[in-house]
Amino acid sequence: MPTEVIMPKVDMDMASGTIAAWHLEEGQVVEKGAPLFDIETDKATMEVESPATGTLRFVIANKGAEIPIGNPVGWIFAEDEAVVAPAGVSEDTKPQAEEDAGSSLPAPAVEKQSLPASEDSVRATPVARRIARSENISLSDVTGTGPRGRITRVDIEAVIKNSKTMPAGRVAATSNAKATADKLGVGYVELPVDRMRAAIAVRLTESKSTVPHFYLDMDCRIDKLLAFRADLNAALEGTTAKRISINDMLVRACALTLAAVPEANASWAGDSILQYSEANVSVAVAIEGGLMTPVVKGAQNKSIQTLSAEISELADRAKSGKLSNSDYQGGSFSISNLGMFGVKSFNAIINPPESMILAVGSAEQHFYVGPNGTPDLGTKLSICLSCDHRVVDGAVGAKWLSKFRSILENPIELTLDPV
Amino acid sequence: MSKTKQANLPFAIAHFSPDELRAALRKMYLIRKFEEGAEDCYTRGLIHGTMHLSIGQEASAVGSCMVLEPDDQITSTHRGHGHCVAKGAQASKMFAEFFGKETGYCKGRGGSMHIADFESGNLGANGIVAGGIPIAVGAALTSKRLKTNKVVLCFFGDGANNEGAFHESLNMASVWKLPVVFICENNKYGMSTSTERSTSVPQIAQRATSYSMPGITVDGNDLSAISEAVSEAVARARDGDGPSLIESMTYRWRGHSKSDRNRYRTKEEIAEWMEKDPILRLSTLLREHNIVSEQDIKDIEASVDAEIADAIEFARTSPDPITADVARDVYTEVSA
Amino acid sequence: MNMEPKPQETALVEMSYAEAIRDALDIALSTDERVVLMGEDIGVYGGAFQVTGDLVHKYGEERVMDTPISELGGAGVAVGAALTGLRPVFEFQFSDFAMLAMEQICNQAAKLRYMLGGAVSVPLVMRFPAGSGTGAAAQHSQSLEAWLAHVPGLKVIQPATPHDVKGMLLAALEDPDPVMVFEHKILYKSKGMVPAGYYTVPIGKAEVRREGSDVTIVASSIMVHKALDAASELEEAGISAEVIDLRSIRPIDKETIFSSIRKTSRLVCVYEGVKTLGIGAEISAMVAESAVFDFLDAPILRLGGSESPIPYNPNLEKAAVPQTPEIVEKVSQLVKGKI
Repeated sequence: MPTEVIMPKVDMDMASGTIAAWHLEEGQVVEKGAPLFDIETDKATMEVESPATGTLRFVIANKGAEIPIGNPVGWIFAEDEAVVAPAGVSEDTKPQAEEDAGSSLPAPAVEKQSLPASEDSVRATPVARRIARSENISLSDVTGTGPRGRITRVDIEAVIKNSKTMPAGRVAATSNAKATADKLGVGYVELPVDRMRAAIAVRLTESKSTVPHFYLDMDCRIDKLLAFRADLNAALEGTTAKRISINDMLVRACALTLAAVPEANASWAGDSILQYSEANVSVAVAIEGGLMTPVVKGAQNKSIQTLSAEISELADRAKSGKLSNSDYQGGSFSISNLGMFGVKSFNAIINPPESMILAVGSAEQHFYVGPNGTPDLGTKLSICLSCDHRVVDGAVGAKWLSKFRSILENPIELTLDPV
Repeated sequence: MSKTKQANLPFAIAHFSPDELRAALRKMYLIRKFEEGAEDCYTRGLIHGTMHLSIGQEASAVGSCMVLEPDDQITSTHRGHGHCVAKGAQASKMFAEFFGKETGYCKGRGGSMHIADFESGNLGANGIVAGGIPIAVGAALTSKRLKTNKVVLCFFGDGANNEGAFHESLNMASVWKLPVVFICENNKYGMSTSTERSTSVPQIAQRATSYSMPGITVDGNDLSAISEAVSEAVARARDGDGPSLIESMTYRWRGHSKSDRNRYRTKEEIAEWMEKDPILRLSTLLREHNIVSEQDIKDIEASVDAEIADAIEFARTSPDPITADVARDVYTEVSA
Repeated sequence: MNMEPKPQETALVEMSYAEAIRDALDIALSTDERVVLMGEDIGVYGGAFQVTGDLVHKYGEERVMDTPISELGGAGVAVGAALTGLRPVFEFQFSDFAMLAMEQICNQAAKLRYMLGGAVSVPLVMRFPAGSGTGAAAQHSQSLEAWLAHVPGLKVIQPATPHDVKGMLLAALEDPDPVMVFEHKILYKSKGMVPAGYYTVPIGKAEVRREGSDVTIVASSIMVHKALDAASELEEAGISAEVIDLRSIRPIDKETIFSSIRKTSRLVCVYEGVKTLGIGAEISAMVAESAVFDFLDAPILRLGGSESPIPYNPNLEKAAVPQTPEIVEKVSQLVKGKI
């Protein structure tokens, strides 16, 4: 029997993957463990290794094809193995090809021989699968309540009823912009929605429409922070170490604040609240065509310098599309900084399942009231904390913000261990 | 059929008209040529499967069937080509069946072992040894119950006499006095096992005593002898006196089937029986009584050869069944 | 038993399953000269289960024929008679004895029409008193219907009620092909309302005996009654079971089964024959191969006879075939998502 090469599940909420590229052509020999093909998920490009040594044959998914997880994309034939078309594949089966890359539905022939081959495969009853297909629900978004976690009709129907899950790439337009534009003769260029854009649309629509947001604004005086940063970078002068940015210091401050106010480092889980034991800080990184939020894990235990190096490395990988799924999953809090673009302040949308996001605006010169009412020129930073009221009440958010400000205004605390 | 009995003449000469006797000779020759033709086609790879040839047994088939009325019925065996022709089947449709063609008697579904021709009263050959015996008894039951006056000739081989179905059937036919004649064509071997080694009585006809019916052993290569015995048994059956068992001693020149390597009998034995060729015996008898001439025999042979050639051509050029029809005729289609 | 037949225009008479068979045979004997009954001790004895009763006195020994104890030969005579114009109804004393006659049933009756290119039909009816529960042990208690249903050319039915057995037997006597009638011995004394006179119940049509929405129980013969009892108990537990009486296993009524599964999404097959390679295996496979598969919301369950001969000891005998409490328990587990 040839070894089946399947579309692996590499992402928690992944129902299908798109072949980004094959590393070798049909008929070529591959070693077990060598790169076989790349898949593009909502968030990253991943390399898939060959499950066996042998010759790649019967590739049924070319570049651009979107394949449900667990479905075969090709087969590896051992050296002395008879080349017989695998079940469900005829000699002349045409690969799902580049020309239909735009189609997000798998070809019927491929769908039919869907085999739950990998351990990651979702266990679901036939009727659950059928309803999920017709309602465009990703089974990986559904919690199975049947034996061994099997998803049954009840589970799918609960999802439909709650409408908690929006299908990937299927966020309906609020009003029919295209029809209106066409009717009025408004000129436009129609751009395709790629997976990242679709994922952003789904996640943020879900967040903004289901998470009860509230916003707390605060200003921080950061003269001491700027001076401390200058001292640190002066100390690094002449080394190969990367210079510390304000953002690095803000991430460190967030981590320490999360450790100090653990009730805010939490997620809403329906019938419980998950309070995380570590500060996993998602750092929003603008990239070509979208936005990624790689996570700095256990940030409360990392020095400014370590954080700086890690954030820099994650940002580079985000920009080159080389993040793995674990790089951008598991965050407990996000920070988004638009100060460098001159944005004074803004209200950010929470990145579920996190329950807070800190929006950082620009730093500005500001006259503070000095001793005896004299003007005191300083630097003011405007920040806004978005909170999920299901988890974080106003007082908790305020407590968090004031702790955060106290650290920024007394930056030597950045060098202390978390309390 | 002439009913006037003449002293000292062989039964057949006395009881059948010259035309009937010439027809019998032609049928025997047709059986012989049919089977030789089938064997030739098999050798050339035109026929698949296997076949069981009755070459050497033609008198038994023809002599038995020639005493029947057209409405009477027979059941036959896997070695049944002779019975089929004797009861009136057409060589062309038989060949077509051998070739597996839609024009065959069974539309290519039965093959050599399952030829039936209900129109001529042939209820079918049977691939199961003794399988046809109870069926013949059933047909005789129908005859008696519906008062159709039909007699059923039930052919089977020596091998069948040790099957339970044989004993159960003879018993029931006797208990119910059914119009059936059991004809055991004893060609000495059930495949390779001789009757001496397989059967507890020296002659199978002796089995009849257990079932309170007449039992007689006749020379099955003598058309006159076999037709005389069957004629008596048929008359008894038709008169409501019940069944009879006739053991027709004969011999198959060929092996059991196409895979037989003749390890169980000697060339001398085969040669000895070929000396008793039933066709030669009948043609000699008919010439002695001036019923056929040398030329008549040549004419018969020529006409049979032509008929066989035409039959093979018909079979060869007939259409194959279409594979989509593989499950046709499993059940009777009933129009709604 | 809540298995009242649908209202008929003709008068309804209460009779037992055995009486309903006799009624059908009586009608057939009186209206069709070609009909003959054959079997061991079906004459003055009245049949081992008193099914033929006193029919011999009404129609004589020529139409109600005691055969010798010769299952193979007797079956063959019936085949030959059917082939040539009679309409024999052959009774095996116990279905187990039919194994002696398998040659004639499977090689001859089933295949003659096909082997002979459709030139003939074999309008033969055979009756098989079947099933366990009588303490008759391994050679007198089997359920062999799946054996025969495996043979193309035969039709195999398992009527569960007096109404159906009469109507289906009369339909079998109209059928041009061999019909094998499996009669559960325990049912012979069960009573039900039966229309007087002639009527037929089609072969090949299942019947929904009870409607439900949570699970489809497909049962045959005596198991229909056990399934209905189970369904009543399940209802008290808030589970709505639909019970389908198969009635015919060859041909099998796929559509009734499929449309029920489309509604309930769960399938349990209950049958007395040995579970492995039995009727339930076939139904399960048919569902798994069909588009109805996509309607399943739980694994398919089979409750069949144990992988053993039928034992003698009464407790063992009960344990060897599905019983109502087991059906209740398994169906309940399935519906509650525990299987």
